[in-house]
Amino acid sequence: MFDLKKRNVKCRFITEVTKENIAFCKELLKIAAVHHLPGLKGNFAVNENEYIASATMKNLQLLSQVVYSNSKAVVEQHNFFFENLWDKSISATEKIDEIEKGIVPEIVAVIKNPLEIKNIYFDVLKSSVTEIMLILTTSTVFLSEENDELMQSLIDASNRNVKIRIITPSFSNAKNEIDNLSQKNKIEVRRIESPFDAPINILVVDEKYSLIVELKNDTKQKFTEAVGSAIYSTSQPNVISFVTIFDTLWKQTELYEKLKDADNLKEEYIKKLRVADKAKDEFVNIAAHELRTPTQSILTFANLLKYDVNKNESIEAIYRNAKRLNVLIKNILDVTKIESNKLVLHQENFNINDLLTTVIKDYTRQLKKPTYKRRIKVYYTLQSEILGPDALIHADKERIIQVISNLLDNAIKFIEKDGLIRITLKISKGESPHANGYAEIIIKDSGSGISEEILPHLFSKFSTRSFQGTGLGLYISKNIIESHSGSMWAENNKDGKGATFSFRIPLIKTDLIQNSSGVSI
Amino acid sequence: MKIKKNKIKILIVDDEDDITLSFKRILEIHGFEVDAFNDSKLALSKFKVNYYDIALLDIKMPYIDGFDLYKKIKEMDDNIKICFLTASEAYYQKFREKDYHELSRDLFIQKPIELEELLKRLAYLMK
Repeated sequence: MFDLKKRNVKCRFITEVTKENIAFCKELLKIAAVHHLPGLKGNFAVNENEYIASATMKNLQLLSQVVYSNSKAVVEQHNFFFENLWDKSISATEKIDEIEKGIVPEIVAVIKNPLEIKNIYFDVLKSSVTEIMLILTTSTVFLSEENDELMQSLIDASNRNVKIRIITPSFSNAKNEIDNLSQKNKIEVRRIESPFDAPINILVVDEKYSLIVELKNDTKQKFTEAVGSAIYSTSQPNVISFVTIFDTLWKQTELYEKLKDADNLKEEYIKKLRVADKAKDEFVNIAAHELRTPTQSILTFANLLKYDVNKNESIEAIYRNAKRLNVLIKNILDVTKIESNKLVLHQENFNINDLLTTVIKDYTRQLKKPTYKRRIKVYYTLQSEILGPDALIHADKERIIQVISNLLDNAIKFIEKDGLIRITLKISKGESPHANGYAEIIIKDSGSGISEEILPHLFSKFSTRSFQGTGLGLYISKNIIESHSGSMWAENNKDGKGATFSFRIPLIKTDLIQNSSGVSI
Repeated sequence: MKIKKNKIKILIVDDEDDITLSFKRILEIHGFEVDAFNDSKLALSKFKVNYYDIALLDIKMPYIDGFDLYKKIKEMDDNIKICFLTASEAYYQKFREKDYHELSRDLFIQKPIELEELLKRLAYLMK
């Protein structure tokens, strides 16, 4: 053949350039124009007058069995064949360059053989290095016999740190399988609400390979029976198109999720508004009832004053009911202040023991009146870890009296006839050396206790177990204590009779030593 | 047979002490005979059949509410005229809509009611 060059004969050569024959092809390029044609079989050579062919060549030696012809028709025919092949093939230099630089050749192939589709599908999945994008318009593949292999391929890829994203319809009959897969592995799954029109699966791997599989029969259990044809591509423009489609859908699902969240939030607000609206109605009803009842008594007793019967009884009743109206008005105003964060505290330093003692004495005096129909005993105990009279708190005195009175009034109200109320004041240094000391006031009654129904929302507005009362007292009391950085809680007594209400409020001084004493009133 | 006497006999049941006391006093002054109870259970156990002309019942009461009391009293005494006293409109609306369609609005007295109006309503009931 080197002879040909010397004789200036134009020589063209078609072969399949592979890694193995690169050296040979390079040599060949020195003497001939060389083209690459993948999958080329057999040998023939043709010039203007002769045609020669052999099955294959060994070590560049022609085999003995050859076909030779100088018939014009045969020579022309094979010249025509050669030109055709030449047109279909690409430059060998280009192919050598691709192989040497590791460039993947661009392929766009329509595959009709289901088994081949399946093999490519799993080969591509298994070859993934950086990223897998999977759009499943139906969940056939997750329910097919090949499910295990698919799952394993995805899990293996995830273990190789391949980023995996799957888009699947919201209403999928393989929801559990997909959920399990995403929960146990680093696989992101997003759901798309609107069903896809075309039953296809799109697989894009490493932004290099795409496989679009058409599903001809979605009901089949075998992958090979479910798939129709497929388009496999390594062509960059092609693959990038699918990457773009995937990313667009991915973002769309994100928007959809956000929209759904917003919808849920809206529902939640509507629910809250309904609850608030119901609470408002309830408030109006209770407030109306509590306004009308004492007003009725005042009206009728005032009318009675016109007649000369039991005038003192009427005057006392009018006073009692007017006071009740006054409490209601104060309560409503307090709630309004609490809810608009306008509860103003007039704080001063005072001794909580002194205050409690005074309030209890007032109550005891009332309860001991001969006109009082019930017999309720009140016991008071002081337990102090701190020496001296300095159980000082910095608080709004009137508000603290309001809270203690509310708790005592409740205790009295829920003791049906006779009973007792035990009040304890605990002065504590606090649990740790740096913690502030606190005063804890515990009011234990022998009344009817708190019903299980009321207990969970005892301190909410309108939680009342009484048929007379606004259900605002405990709500206000708890808020007053909390605005003093304290806390309030309640429980039914362990012995099954009555309830205990407690609240805690911080002390000013904590650096005094331990002592304990008991006082009874 | 209803035992008729000159005075109109009224039964008042309301869990508010001051309501029963003031109504009892003022109605007695105006010539009625009044029995008043704060406890609906007690009112039922002491109920005198064929004795009262009118029963004034509060609705929102513990143990037995006004509507239950109405049913129980009606079972014992079909001739008694019953009128509800209520300070809670929503409470009575709820019950009325649910189970007591037969009760006309005329049978409900909204608290607070002035004496003149109350006397008018009682006279109307006795017609």
